Amino acid sequence: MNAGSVNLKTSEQIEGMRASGRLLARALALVEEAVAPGVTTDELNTVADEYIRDHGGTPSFLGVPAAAPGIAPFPGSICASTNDVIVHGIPSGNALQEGDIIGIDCGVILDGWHSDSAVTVAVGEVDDEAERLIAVTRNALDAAVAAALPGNRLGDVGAAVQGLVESAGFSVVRRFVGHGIGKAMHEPPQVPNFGAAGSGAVLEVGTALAIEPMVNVGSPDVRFDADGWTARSADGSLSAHFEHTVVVGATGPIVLTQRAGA
Amino acid sequence: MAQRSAREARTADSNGKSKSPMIEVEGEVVDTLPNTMFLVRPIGPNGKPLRLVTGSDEDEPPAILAHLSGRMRLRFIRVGVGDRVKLELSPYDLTRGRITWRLRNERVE
Repeated sequence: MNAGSVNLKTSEQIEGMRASGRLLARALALVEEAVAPGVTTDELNTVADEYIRDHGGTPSFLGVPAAAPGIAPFPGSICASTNDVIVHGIPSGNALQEGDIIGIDCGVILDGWHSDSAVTVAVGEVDDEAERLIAVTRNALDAAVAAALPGNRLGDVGAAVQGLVESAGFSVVRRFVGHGIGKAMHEPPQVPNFGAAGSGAVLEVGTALAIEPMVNVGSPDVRFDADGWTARSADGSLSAHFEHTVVVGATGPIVLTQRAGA
Repeated sequence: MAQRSAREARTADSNGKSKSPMIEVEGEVVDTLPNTMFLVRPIGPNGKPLRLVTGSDEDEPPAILAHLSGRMRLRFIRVGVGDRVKLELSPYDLTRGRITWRLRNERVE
């Protein structure tokens, strides 16, 4: 359940989050640049981890406790989710192959403020379907961000994603949701990527959300690897994930994790 | 990092209690039969026909014989040929089903 109420942020607090988001955006841009066939996800993890620490931040994913008992805390500073992995892939010594797609999700704590962002990129040349999946998921995030207006409801955000994704013939993962963010990585409310427009809690100015559509080519069902983290599409189809940390501003959504030129 | 959905966790719990979770699929009504029965062709999330029963070697996956759920009959929800519907199937017999929802038809191109 969404225990507790939404922590609305003042403009000063938003400035703190903005600094955190900016650092994360630069780290993600570096990782994105480093993606190439033959590079291991461990190496990508190091790129992000070092850049964040060198600039006074702390990678927030490292050591996150698992949702289920008996599973080790998350061992990486990024989630590296290749191909059919939806989210929470653990960085490893496996090299990326030409034609893979990889989702990179990362979080930063700077001066106590969390930011959380993800991007999915193609490794070299990918087939048309993978390219379309990435484009649709990116557009779905843009549509969701555009719906994060004061007076709108959470359902409007979810409906924006769901409408776009399903009209493209893909499916929205329901097992995972976006979340409020601030002094903690996960704050209320939960932000589903599906729902009916006009339903759910009203968005107020100062609401900070991590909006993160996760899209599968095939069925939306999820299965977990034995490590307890890696979440794959149940049918093995490709999956993409984009995420921004966004604040509902009086004049419109403020994207805190916008990458330069992206 | 994505959070696990609380809503999803709850449904998982209730599924754990009942012995046979229902399979939910979407379909398109291909024929109406007497007694509020319908023939429904299951459709996967990718918009392509879904083959639920293996071993049948026709090109077209077989249609499911489905009846209207009691609640839909009480509410007089009318279902006709071409409508997209949600179906509940028992995992034990994938050739019969129950129509639980008529979808808004904006997805039909």
